[in-house]
Amino acid sequence: MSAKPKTIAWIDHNLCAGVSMCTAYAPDAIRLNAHGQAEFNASGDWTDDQLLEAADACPMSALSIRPAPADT
Amino acid sequence: MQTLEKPDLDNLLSDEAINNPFEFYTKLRNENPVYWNERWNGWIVTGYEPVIAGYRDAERLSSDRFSGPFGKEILASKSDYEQLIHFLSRFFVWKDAPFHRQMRLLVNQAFTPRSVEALRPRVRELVRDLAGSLRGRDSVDFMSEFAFTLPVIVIAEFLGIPPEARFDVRDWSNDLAGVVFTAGNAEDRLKIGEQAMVKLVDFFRPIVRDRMKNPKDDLLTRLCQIEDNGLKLNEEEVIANAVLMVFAGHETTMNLLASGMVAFDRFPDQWDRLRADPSMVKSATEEILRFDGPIKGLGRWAKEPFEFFGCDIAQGDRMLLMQHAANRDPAAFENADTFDIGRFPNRHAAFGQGIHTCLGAPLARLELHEALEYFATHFDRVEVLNNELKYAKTIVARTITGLNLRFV
Repeated sequence: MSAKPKTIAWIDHNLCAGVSMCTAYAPDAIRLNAHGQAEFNASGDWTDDQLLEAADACPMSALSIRPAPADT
Repeated sequence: MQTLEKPDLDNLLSDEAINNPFEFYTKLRNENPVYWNERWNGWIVTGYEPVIAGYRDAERLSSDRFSGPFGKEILASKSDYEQLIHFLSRFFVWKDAPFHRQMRLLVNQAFTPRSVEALRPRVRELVRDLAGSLRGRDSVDFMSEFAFTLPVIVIAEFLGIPPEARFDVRDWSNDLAGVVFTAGNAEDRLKIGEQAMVKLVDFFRPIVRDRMKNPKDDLLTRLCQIEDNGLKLNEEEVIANAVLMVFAGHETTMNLLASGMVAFDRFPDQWDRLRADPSMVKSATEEILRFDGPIKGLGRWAKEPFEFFGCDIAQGDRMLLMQHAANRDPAAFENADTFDIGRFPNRHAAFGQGIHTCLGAPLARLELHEALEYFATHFDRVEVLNNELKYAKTIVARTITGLNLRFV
């Protein structure tokens, strides 16, 4: 099990069109939900670099990288 | 007394369907958001929810133009239109996985919002040059002086087409539009399309070969260089994509600019709102896309039988996903027929949805933002002078045939 992530991907579902570029670049971090929109999978085995690539590849600018929220 | 005739909902090329698609497709939606059209011999989808679902279901709804019901005619004529079919069949927009996915992953790299952002200063300069002479004249032919020219120059420069060739390329690409945007495949259109494709390929091939050896800072070079897991585009694919980009890069943006001007003329309060706060160009652009976007709908066909919003879709059935109509669906948008440049959220379907979502969306948005910002900060009013607006007779594209404006 990897250490707790410092970053997360945040997806704006008002913008996400389900293009799936993000799932190609970060397949273990992002999946499509039942509505065909991207969902972040925090527990997956991914790297920060993959998240950055996924965010950069999104043609809708729907995916952004944010610091992980503090422990809850 | 005259009896009212039942409107002909099957004729997608009727005067009403072409010049007043909002009312026409609302009637269809009221009949059934997924409506069987006898004449077109397929399903016409006009509801927001089924249009989105249809676009996202690339597993069952194919975009492939070269197999299934769309492929029969075009493949039957293959020997006469060799170049046309050779290169059109490499347009990844008309492909399914896995070809589409590989190609889109490669080409997407050049069209991310960040890649496109680099073009902003030049787009701003072009807008200033083209719009600088518009004010105060009795009548401006908006299409030829601005809406046509801006996107053509932007895509030509982005690709790396020499300036002296850009209008030739545009003309050939317009001839191709006859094949792509028009229903059916009449022989004369295919013939013109074949000639245009031969010219485009003859034009692009030596340039592409040169870029492979002598890279420049342009999109043709990037298309030659882009790589994903050892996968690259070959010469034929670079040429096909270059043709696709010229073609897709100007007609749609041109019509979007025109639609925007028409909408602001009809809703002058929204023009005043934009002038008062030009930072609204982003949401205004999205609202133009929703209110009267440049693509009315695109075709798909069913790879397998399935139930779709209460309708039994048979294998091989054609389906027309009408985002233009979906964007006015009252079930999805409050006051759907009102142009509201502050609308939020605005989850319109103008660029399609799913894996085929418009690749050029970031570029179209950039051009609209820059044009609207210039207009809103330089003109008090924009007036449409045409008594009646006419649109080209195609099912797919919302192409205005003439727009005369006065900029005050």
